[in-house]
Amino acid sequence: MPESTLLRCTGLGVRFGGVQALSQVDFTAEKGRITSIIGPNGAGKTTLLNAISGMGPCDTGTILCLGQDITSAPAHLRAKNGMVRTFQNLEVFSNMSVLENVMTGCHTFVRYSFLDAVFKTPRYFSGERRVREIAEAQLAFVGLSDSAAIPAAELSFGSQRMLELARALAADPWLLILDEPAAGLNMRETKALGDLIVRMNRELGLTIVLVEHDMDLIMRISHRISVLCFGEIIAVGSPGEIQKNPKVITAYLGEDED
Amino acid sequence: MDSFRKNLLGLAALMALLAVAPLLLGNDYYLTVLTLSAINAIIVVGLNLLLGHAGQISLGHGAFYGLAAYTSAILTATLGLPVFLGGLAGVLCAGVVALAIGIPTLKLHGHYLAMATLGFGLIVYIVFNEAVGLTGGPSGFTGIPRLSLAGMELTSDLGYYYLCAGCLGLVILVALNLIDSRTGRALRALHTSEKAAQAVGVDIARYKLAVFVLSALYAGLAGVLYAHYLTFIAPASFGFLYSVELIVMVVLGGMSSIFGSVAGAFFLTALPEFLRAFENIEILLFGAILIVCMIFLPEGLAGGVRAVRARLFRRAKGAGDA
Repeated sequence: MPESTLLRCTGLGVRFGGVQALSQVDFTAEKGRITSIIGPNGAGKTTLLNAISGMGPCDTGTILCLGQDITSAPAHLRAKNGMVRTFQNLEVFSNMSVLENVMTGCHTFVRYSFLDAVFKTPRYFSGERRVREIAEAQLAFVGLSDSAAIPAAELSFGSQRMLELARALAADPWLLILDEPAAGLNMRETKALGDLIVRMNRELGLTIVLVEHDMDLIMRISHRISVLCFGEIIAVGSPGEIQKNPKVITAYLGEDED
Repeated sequence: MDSFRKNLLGLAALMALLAVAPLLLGNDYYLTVLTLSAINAIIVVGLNLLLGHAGQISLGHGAFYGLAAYTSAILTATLGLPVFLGGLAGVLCAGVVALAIGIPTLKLHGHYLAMATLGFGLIVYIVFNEAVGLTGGPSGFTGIPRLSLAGMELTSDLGYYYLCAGCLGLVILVALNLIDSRTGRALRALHTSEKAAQAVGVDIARYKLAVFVLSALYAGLAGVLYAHYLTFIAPASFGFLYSVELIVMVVLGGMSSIFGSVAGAFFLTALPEFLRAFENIEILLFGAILIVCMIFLPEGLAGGVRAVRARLFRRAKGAGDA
């Protein structure tokens, strides 16, 4: 597989009882690119993200990450190795402050032992200082610096989405998987989110996999788009190609009567 | 670090209060109540980590408490081991059993986890009752030696009370330090969203197991202190009702506050003793007080204190402005 391919899924199949949610799905994400997955409701987009991130089942097929087979790796190990995702339904830690939420993101790479914490060793203090610096920097990146000390549950919906992004960034990913990050945001917020995703891609060099319904956003920022329909990939291409693809138009608008 | 200093200050205040309490209450009976309160508080601090911070319920902590008490009792009274060794073995026994029980049960969630731990508690309770040769059965186990430290038997009740209070201080310090660390954040994270915790790389199975074992070790420490304090133990002290009582202490004290839980433990251990005066309606009053507490302090004693402090602060600020 070429050097530039970060994530390659081949022949993914997921079945829930009698429903074949995904069948023979091939999907690749190129390094440093924004790759989007679109498709009508129930097409299997979230099922695909769950399989990739290890949070859902994957019955057949293989998932290769940088050439390594991670098909059966548990979710937390995938996260540890740099594959970090956000969720369609907000999953902020409501029992923590905004800053602590982001600090939790550093879990895997700022490490000190249980005993360091209990005895408050210098390693604990230096670790905590580093975690705090990283968290503050990420909060600044998404524009939430002013809210650092307040409880996460008190943030507005849009800000909670940004908080999720900051937490994901704090986990130091190389692959960021975003599951409908614009859901529930107004137009202005969606625009800001799009700019932020582009910045994460350009400034931080992150590879991004994006599932989204907002077509304006998708067409504006994606480098490549895969279209899922009834659990199968029906088209892959640049935004321009996808917009003209007759199969995609049919999937979204339905077939002509005659 | 700011919160660290605040925690130490709170702990110092609590320890000072515990130190002067027996002097103010100069009465052997009160001293017993205080000692038992401190012992209960040790378990409750562990349960607070498990339930209040990691969000995992256990209705079987009475069993860990009992396992440690019986292990230490059997090793010291029956086999004649030094109390120090017996106690250590008791605490370890609770931890090892928690490890063995935790691996399969912590895969369960919510009510199912409650059921599994409840079942475990009942099984242990039945064993205490039925293994008469080992435990003395329902009539109890007598003749447990008092704790001795460095060859000196701790005979004075006041000394024993200070030992329990010291242990309580230590377990509180460990718990507070843990909460304010990456471990604590991982626990609080898996409480609210297991998915999101995994997404940032938290091995949730490992953390659940670790906090379960830690809380069992706390219960074990309390069990050992209990057995060598009363020198007599019986299965009735370690049953299902006791496990529920512990949960009530955590909830009444305030789920997310260690100090609140300690207050809950002291309050609920002492309350029945003071209600004894009302003989026939004792249980009725106990229930009524609990209901009133939960209506007016939905976030527990700790939440109540926070609310009062916030109101005073506002008033002070208002006076300052005017």
